[in-house]
Amino acid sequence: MSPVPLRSPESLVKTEVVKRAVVLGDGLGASIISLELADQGFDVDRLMPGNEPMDLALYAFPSELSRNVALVKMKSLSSTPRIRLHRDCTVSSVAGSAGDFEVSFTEAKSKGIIKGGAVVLAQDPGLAAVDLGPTVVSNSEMRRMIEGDETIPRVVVFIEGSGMTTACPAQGSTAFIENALEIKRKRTDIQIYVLTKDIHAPGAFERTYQAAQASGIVFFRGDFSYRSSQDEPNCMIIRDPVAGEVKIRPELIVRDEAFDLGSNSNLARKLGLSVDREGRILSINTRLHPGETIREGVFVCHGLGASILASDNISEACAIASSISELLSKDFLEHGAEVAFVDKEKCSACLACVRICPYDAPFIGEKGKAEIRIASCQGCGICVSLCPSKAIDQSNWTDAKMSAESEIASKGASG
Amino acid sequence: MSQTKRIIAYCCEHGGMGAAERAAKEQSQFASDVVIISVECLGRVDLLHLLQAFREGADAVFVAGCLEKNCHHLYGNVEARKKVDQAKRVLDSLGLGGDRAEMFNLASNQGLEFKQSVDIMIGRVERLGPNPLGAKK
Repeated sequence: MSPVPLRSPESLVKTEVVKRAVVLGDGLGASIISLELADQGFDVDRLMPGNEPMDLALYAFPSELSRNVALVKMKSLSSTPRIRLHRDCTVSSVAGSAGDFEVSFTEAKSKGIIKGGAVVLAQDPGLAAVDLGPTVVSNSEMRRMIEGDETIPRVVVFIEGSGMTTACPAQGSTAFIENALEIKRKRTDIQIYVLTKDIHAPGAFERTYQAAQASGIVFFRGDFSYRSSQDEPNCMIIRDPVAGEVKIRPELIVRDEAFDLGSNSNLARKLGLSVDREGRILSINTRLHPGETIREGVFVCHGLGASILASDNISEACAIASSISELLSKDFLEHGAEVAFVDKEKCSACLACVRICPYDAPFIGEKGKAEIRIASCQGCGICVSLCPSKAIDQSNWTDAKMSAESEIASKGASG
Repeated sequence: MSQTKRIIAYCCEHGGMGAAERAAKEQSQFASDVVIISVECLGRVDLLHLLQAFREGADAVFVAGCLEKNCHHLYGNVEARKKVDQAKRVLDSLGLGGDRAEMFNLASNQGLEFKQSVDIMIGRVERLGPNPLGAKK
């Protein structure tokens, strides 16, 4: 038995959409989102924690194309009148709901409040401090070694999945290819091995992989296909389905970039988002709803935390910009068909609903009783079933209706 | 075996309901009556509703929600699991058998797993016999 999709004929709350966006962050993602939105005719306030937009050094650019696109976009940033840059900012709180947010912040010791219809958290995570000895370097350190013409040992092994704290399957070994190719271009006698979980070659990367194999870079694929040798020090045994067991003696190991995802979690909590133990921000289905979070109107651009490929980040940022413009192009947002409501007579203000709500919708009002922010409520009903005083009920999904359904179901099926 | 078993499934709109619809599309045949009640999130399902179904004579009740850590409403499925565990304890103390209530985590494309869940519940009812509260009516 499925219930009749009953919805109230008119919504309970109408929010006027403020046609501005607030972008928090200084990375590539934040720049692209601001520019895309400005292009579409929305005003953007960009709050940067530092002074200048971040440089692009950490991104790997396997193709020249994405680098050029990124540079062109970064250059036009300062010349766009629709974008207001706020430097040295600390965000203190974000209030309101989708369509009408109020962001309070401190800008160079003076306080300010800006309004916006949507808020984007696009702060790239900082690098985590990882020290595994002189024979292990990160991908960006490797780039610096190549650019600085430092001597590179004769056997270099790139290991994927050895540094990043976020799972990032789409990236694969692609981030390493540019560096590996660059080493081969300079000195052909250096042996290069790439240990990777998977090889993804979307679009033009196919050609890059072809060039890599032609230049003699050896790829090993598979999960945990390598181990260190028990008998010989500094020897690595790789199990390959075709070549069998291969012994190599790496003189330099290049690992993935390691990011400190925890640095963003404070900001995320201020935005009312949930963060897991490793500092990852919980968002709903990334592929169906890019950048959307459980809080309507708040978006997250994971940027470097998800991928160090510039092309990945540019497309993520563009997708988020279009999600935002979809929201901002509405004049009003309507809420309230299936929301929870409180029977104030029964409420004992025990705070159970305030603690459990994923959306931060219940609060204790002026009368000392719980109230529901209708614009925030998503109608999940967790508070309804949890309330010890049975003071909360949900419109269209009332306890009476649920009981009746359960009763009919258990009786009716027998007849 | 001859008597039809009464099984009630609470399915969330995001995981369980999708799986049930998928099972229907794959034309799964159940050896019993399964009544599906859809809710927005399993967090809405109360201990009250679970026990009420048994009082009215349901042989088994299961709830099907999103996969762990993949709940559309973040942790509605975790809350539901707590409620189901409570219900199990109540059923055990009543002597009805805690196995009559169960929680499954299903993604919306797991039609086959939905059918398997139903089969598990049917197997349990066969083992435990029909709900004595239902027979009295």
